[in-house]
Amino acid sequence: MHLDEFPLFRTDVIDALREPLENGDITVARGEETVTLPARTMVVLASNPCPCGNNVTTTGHLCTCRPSEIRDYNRRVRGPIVDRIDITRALQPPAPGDGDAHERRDTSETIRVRVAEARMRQIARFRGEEWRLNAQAPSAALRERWPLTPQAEETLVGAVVSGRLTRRGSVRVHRMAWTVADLAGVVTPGTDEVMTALALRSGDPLRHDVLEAVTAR
Amino acid sequence: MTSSSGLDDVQAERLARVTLSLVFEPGDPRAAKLCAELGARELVDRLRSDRAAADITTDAGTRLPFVEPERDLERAAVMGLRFVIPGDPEWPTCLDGLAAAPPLAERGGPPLGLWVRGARRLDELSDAIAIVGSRAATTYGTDTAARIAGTVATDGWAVISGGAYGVDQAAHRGSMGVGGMTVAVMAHGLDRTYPAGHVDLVDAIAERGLVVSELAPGSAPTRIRFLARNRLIAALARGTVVVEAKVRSGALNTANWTGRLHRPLMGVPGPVTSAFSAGVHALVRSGAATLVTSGDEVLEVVGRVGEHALAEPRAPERVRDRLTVRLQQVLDAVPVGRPAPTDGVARTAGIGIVEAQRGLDKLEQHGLVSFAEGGWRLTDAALAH
Repeated sequence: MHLDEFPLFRTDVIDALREPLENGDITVARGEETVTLPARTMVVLASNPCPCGNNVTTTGHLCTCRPSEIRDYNRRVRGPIVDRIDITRALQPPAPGDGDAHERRDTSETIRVRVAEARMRQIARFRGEEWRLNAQAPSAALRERWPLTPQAEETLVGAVVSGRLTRRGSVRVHRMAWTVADLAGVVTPGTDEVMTALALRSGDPLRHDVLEAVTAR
Repeated sequence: MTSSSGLDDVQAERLARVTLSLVFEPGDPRAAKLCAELGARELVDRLRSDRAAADITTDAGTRLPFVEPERDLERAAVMGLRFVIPGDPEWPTCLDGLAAAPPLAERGGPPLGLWVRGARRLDELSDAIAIVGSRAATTYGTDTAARIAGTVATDGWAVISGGAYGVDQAAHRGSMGVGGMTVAVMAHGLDRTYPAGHVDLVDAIAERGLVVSELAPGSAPTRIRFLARNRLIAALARGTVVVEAKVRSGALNTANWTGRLHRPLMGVPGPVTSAFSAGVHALVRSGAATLVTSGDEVLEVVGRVGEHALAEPRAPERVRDRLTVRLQQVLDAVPVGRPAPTDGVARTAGIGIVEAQRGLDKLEQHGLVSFAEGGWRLTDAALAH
């Protein structure tokens, strides 16, 4: 599901996404009846840096928004919904020469194989459990039976203590670190995988050496 | 003197310089100095007959018996390589600055000659910018390097870098993406490619630009050779941009060479929390490098005076900015909602009623206030500001 210009959506619409994003299902109550429907989907939210879109240095234009407009716009992006978003990426307008012949580009076929392999690892790891994939693994089970390396755990706890991450966020980073490890063929998520999961979440740049560990496979 | 003996002279000089480049490690300041003083042929003669200084003869003696310059030149030609020496029409004069620059890490001096692969010519490099940085870079570093390279290449500047992964690769690609000329300066012989997975990119650079090395075919890269190579990157360019360097990055050695050559050094900032930008930030903080955030800013630094002067970024001027402070004081006293009479506005502004009346008339002409229902209020145009 792709919501473009997501900050312009009504607040109640945005809030309604919380439950399906957290649980993978949605409960609709009408009168005396309640029905719970499956709602496990990948949600992609797109937003601009500000209402006019020029609050960056790369568009060649100056931002014309009032501070209050930018504040209102960004409040939506910073709301509780954001705590449930695992990957944030800042995209720049195309530069001259983008997409040249030497840019590393994997075909969808290559990526499909890589993702299928990562999913197979997860299914094998969770054999006999009630779930199959990292995204579905309960947090208690993850912490007790599929922990991170001690240094990686320290990094994650540090991010929570410093206020960079909420408790809910830390569970999601733990899951994402497993996914990074599964993609890279790493047996247990270490500091590199946790740092990558944190950078994916915050929108920080990614390290090329970690990306290469994934794409070289 | 006939022209054939002139050609023989050039060929003898070339063979002597091939010999020296095989015998000495690149950037050995003793070799560069003696070669400048005696000439390459005389230096080779003295080495062969043990008439050079003891230390240098001993060093050279380990390799000299195995050197076959004619054979190496022939083999190189088969691989599409040429050996360019000072005096050749193609020799880039920008390298001469190295003769006067003091050594760094015991490397220095102009190269004895350059092994070159590619259809372009070295003397096309009068307008070149070096873009260097970590091999272990982030997506921010490579995106920014490619963007800057694309901008300067579009303006006709060649892009020089080290042909490595990370920032180097992004700089070469950014230049080629807009059809620019790019030069990869290597720290190994051009018969091979490091890292091996890089063959396609290096081939593409040779096709549209140049691949260059001081080292003869067959030479492997070593740490010292990287340090020697860095001085060539700095010397081939009019200025150097460092994009992402950790505090101990090799890119900082290239930055030091740029300083030794008295050429502009520029640094691209990153997040203050990023170790990948800490080396760049140190360069800027110490005053060695100028902070740049775009290709246009790079051109402003290296370009000829006035050629690339950029307009200062500033917010668009608003009607309000053109008002006198007294008039702004009156404007601030005009209500948004219920209209206020002139004396009310004067009282709120703390300005005499005669001047307030005159001010309100002027603001009305600007379309910022309107009079209705017995009082003044702000117009929609005023609210939009």
